[in-house]
Amino acid sequence: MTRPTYRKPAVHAHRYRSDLPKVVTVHDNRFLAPALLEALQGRAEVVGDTAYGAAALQLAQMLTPDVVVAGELLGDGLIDHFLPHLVRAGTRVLLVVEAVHRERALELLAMGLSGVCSVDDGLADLARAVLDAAAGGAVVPPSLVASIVVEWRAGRRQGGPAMTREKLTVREMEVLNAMADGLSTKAAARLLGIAVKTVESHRTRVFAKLGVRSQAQLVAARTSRPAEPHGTIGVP
Amino acid sequence: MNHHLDQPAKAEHVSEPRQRLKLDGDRAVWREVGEEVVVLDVETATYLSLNGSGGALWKRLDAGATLSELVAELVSAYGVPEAQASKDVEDFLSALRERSLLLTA
Amino acid sequence: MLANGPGRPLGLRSFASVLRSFCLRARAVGAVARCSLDLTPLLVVQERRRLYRESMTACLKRKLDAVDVLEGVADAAGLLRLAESRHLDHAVIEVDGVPWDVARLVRSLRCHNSSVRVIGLATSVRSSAATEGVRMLSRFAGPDQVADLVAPGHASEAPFVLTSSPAGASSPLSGQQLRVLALLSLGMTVADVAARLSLSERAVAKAKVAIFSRLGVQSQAHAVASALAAGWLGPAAVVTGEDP
Repeated sequence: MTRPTYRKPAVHAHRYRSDLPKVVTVHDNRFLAPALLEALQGRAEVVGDTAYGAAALQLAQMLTPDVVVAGELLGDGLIDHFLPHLVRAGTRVLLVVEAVHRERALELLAMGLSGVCSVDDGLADLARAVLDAAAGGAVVPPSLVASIVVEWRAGRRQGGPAMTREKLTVREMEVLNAMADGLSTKAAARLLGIAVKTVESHRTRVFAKLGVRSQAQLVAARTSRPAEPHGTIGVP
Repeated sequence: MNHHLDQPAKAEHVSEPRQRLKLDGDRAVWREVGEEVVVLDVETATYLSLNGSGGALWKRLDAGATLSELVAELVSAYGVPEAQASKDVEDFLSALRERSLLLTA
Repeated sequence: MLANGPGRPLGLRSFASVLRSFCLRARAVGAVARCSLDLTPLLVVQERRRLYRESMTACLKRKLDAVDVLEGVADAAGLLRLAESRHLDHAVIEVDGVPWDVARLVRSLRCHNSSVRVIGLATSVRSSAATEGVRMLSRFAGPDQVADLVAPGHASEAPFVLTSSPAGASSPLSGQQLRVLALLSLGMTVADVAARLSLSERAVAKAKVAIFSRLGVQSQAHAVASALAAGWLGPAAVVTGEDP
């Protein structure tokens, strides 16, 4: 029997030394992680993979990934349940969705989701989105942002009691417009002369406010309260 | 991508050839992944990977082994001269000790 | 028998090239033009969602050296078109929630190749394609499981991922303890775990104590982390409930 080549016994520490972005996948499709691992070869490391949200939280804590790629329906529940914890752990979360439902996307974006990818995208697209997210970019499809904004503006015109409570600040409007133009968080940060993290927190607040409005809109529609005319609301 | 752990300062501690050494099972959980052994240091939440020879030593240590047995392992598996094997084993054990992963039974 | 030189029969390869050149000269039209005698088995994935289709194709290409994995197809029509022009040996298909009759699809595939082996990936518990000789896998099936059905005994090489099925390396926990831990890690209460595993609550509580002591931990989070890291927890452990 031929002996294997001898290399001196060595210990490689992974956590602090790797200079590549770390990715954790939490998805019920078990082919995604190995495929993504290969697609990201040399550019990012998939360091953990699971089909369960609870396990993903553990992995996020242990391995401090830069990006988590998540599916919507996990082995132990919807991503909604785990998303706030993942966001709090400081990782950016990219969601792979079957269909982009505006309301739902809004809720999740308000919770701090970093971006959305579709199952109709290719593997290479997802890999690119992961690298963008790791570098501080946002991958909210501009069309999604645009449709959210359109709906919001339409809602504003109709008016309704909840509309008056939330206003977007000037900065928040700027961030929203940048997103509607398809700018990444990084590009928006550069444009506005602020930090990426600041853009991200503005973003989350914007979606939270829009969410409040559109949810209120839904409630108003269901209870068919007559629309009350209002003057200019928020920043035009 | 992965950097070698800096070689620790020459170990003060020289293992007794017949003293039984063991891994701190409370602190480290591990599994074999392909050619490597991957270890998760639960306390520091660091994961370490050991190359082929390191993994072989690790597995012996998991069951408990003396210095002589570890040296013998390298010699028989890789045909390394004993003097070199002794030195390499000592360096490896120092690295483990430094991470508080080694116990004396 | 074609011969090349004094009485020596042609090898299979040269016979194939002769046949190929014959076909080319004959300019046969239609799908039957390709008369390659390449015996490498062909496999194709049918999956409507592009991301998963590409992922599955990429994984299986990597895993199966002795099998030719074709570019995936999106739907039944695409699969049947392919089956007409290529001799498909394996097909990995969706069996749930598809807008076509799966049983009929499988039968049509068999018309083209009576010995085609079909693997169905099911997303729901009750799946009607359990007939028709389709090998069923659950939604938690991964490349290893599919590869195993296609080319049994295929060595599984896991990159450093923390949740494949329970590791061969000795786990200090018994099968039952692993199942209890797996369910606890999903956030189930002791009562839920007891109900799910048909045990008494006392038995589950006892198992919990034993788990902590064997892993040498004080908290459930630590127990889960240790077990996760060691690869003892994973979809297989929870879904099948079988002993590792």
